[in-house]
Amino acid sequence: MSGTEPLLRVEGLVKRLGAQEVLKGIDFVVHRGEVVAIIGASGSGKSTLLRCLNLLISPDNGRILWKGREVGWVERGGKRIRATERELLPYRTEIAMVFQSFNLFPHMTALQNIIEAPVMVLGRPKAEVTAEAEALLAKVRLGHRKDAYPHQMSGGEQQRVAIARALAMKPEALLFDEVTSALDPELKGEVLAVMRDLAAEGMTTISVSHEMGFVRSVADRVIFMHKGRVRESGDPKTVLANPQTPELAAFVESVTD
Amino acid sequence: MDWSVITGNAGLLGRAFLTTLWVAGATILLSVLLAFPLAVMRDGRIRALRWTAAVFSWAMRATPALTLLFLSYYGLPQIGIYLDAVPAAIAGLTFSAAGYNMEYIRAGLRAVPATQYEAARALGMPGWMILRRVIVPQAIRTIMPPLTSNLTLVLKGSSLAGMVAVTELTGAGMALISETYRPFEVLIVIALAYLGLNGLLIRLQKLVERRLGPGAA
Amino acid sequence: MDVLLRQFPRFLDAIWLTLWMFAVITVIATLLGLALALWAEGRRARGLDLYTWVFRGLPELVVLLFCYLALPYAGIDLGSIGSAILAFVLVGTAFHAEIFRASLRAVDPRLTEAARSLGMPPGLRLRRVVLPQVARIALTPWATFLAGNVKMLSLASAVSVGEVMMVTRQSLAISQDPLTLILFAGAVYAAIASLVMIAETLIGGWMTRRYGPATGGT
Ligand SMILES: Nc1ncnc2c1ncn2[C@@H]1O[C@H](COP(=O)(O)OP(=O)(O)OP(=O)(O)O)[C@@H](O)[C@H]1O
Ligand SMILES: [Mg+2]
Repeated sequence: MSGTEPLLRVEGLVKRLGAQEVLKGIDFVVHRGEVVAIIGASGSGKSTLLRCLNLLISPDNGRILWKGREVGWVERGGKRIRATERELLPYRTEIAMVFQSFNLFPHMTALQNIIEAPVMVLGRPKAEVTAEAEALLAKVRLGHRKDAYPHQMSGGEQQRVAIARALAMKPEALLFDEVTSALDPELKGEVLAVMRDLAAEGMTTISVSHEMGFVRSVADRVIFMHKGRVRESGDPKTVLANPQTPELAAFVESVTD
Repeated sequence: MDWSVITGNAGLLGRAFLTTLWVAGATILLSVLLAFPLAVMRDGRIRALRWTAAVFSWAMRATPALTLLFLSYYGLPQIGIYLDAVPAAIAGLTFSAAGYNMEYIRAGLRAVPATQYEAARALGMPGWMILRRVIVPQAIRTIMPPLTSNLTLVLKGSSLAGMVAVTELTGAGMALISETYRPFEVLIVIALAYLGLNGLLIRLQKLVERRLGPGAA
Repeated sequence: MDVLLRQFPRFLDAIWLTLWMFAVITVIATLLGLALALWAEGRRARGLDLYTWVFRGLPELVVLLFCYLALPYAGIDLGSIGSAILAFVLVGTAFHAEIFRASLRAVDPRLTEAARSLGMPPGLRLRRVVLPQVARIALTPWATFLAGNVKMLSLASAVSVGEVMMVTRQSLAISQDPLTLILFAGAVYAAIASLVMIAETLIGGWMTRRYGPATGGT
């Protein structure tokens, strides 16, 4: 893949939360169509990293390059200053995020949740978006639930609606933050199946996940984080089979069931 | 601004301030004394008493305090009860406050686990002793915070007494204004007096919450 | 009883006046309270604190007298109904602002985050995501305040607004039967207050059935 600019390039990312330096200089690149998995113990900074990538929180140091252009900072009067919330919005529509706790809007039906942003943010015609949304619901196997409100759906159904909601923005990459960990074991499968479908279609995804089966079989690359740093990365089959650091060895040990 | 209205009538305003304290203080004390047995009745075993207490609580909370005040000032003489302005005002305000206090006390009593009643009964304690020695000491924690926050409402409510010819702060103010035509000075002083008292009550409320609230030792 | 019957047309007018004053005050004070709560988010909380402390701490009657007796000296003569509306709006705004401030804080921050991740700008987020949650969270405290506030309208009689309590007081002067008159007036306010609470129960129940329990999020 050399020669082409990666979709996403992260350089020396640092983020402090309170007194603690949660990210201590993260570097990696993601190419179009790649499926990247981020693993690591609780508190290692995985969620913080994803929220930085979406610029829901702004990094204290380092650069994020999206399609070769730096995001989060703008040039104004010859000075480099932080972009405002409004200036970040176009970027956020290109890189969508799915959360551990679903975060569906409780006062909207499944269908309304999905069409909300394409209609209100992108200003696309409602009829067209609705047709797409129905197709997306069918794709996540929820065609029959389009008029259900979030409280009437199971966690697995809600999470699949949330994925459809993210896809409706036609993003170029998807961020998944432990999207299955709030779900009962029997519901995890239906969400993982959707994620597998997306990978097979060539969607670029960056997922924080503790599902080692999924990481092994679906991810093109795994990134192991420890205390705010990338400790190991590479092909999941190799990396997970032969940990080079005691931390990864201990982590693999702890999550293998 | 001409503050001589205030300085010249300092004595009147001072007495009015004391009347406000007296009306509000008496209302608080009497309304709690009245509300307590009603709260016990409300969840008690005798059906007629339960209903009486429930209707009382609803009626007192749904009716304007001013109505209750007029009832005791203009209405009671009709059935042969003649009260002076101050006692009539205190009576009206007491009934109004009792409706709310009843609910706080009831919620507090209910918050004591049922097992405490059982344990006390197993020890052979009579009903009133269970209440006094076991339930109330535990319930007081939940009862006091809303009760003290209700004090600010009682203080504000005492201003209504001014409308049945009691010369408490507001009543005295109205009289002074119609005499001197200096509403700004008079109302500012009265407002400051109320806000000062209110500040003290909020202090008291914080103190009670710290002493009794959740997390207190 | 005969006085009540003879005065009945006047009572009807008075009930009507009470109702529309209540409606006008509620609409204005609710909108102002919401606007203040939004304005005070973050750093400007102090100004709102002072305002709500003053207007929640003063007796309504004092505010009313100020609007009716003092403002004309400053060249603002609103008449009796106008002063009463102004006074209750000033007081109501303070209470509503506190209710909405607490409700805004109770909205699940994860919903806001989800909206941001979808690229929704702040205004859109507020309108489409945050305010619908606020409406649910604030419903009960808002209705409870209103039910209490209806009763406070009886104070407007102090500045000779011809609402229910005013007509009652005037009728008292010519009646042998003050008890009936006063009880009738009390019943009118109690009925309006009860209607507010019943409406709250119905709307709250409908929302819970449709949107699930109000937790601020999913
Ligand atoms: N708002 C905050 N203020 C201060 N510290 C925070 C904040 N949010 C997170 N942290 C800290 O940052 C560290 C990393 O948190 P993060 O949520 O990124 O971890 P994580 O790897 O996603 O863990 P998990 O697997 O439990 O989700 C933790 O130690 C956490 O306590
Ligand atoms: Mg996390």
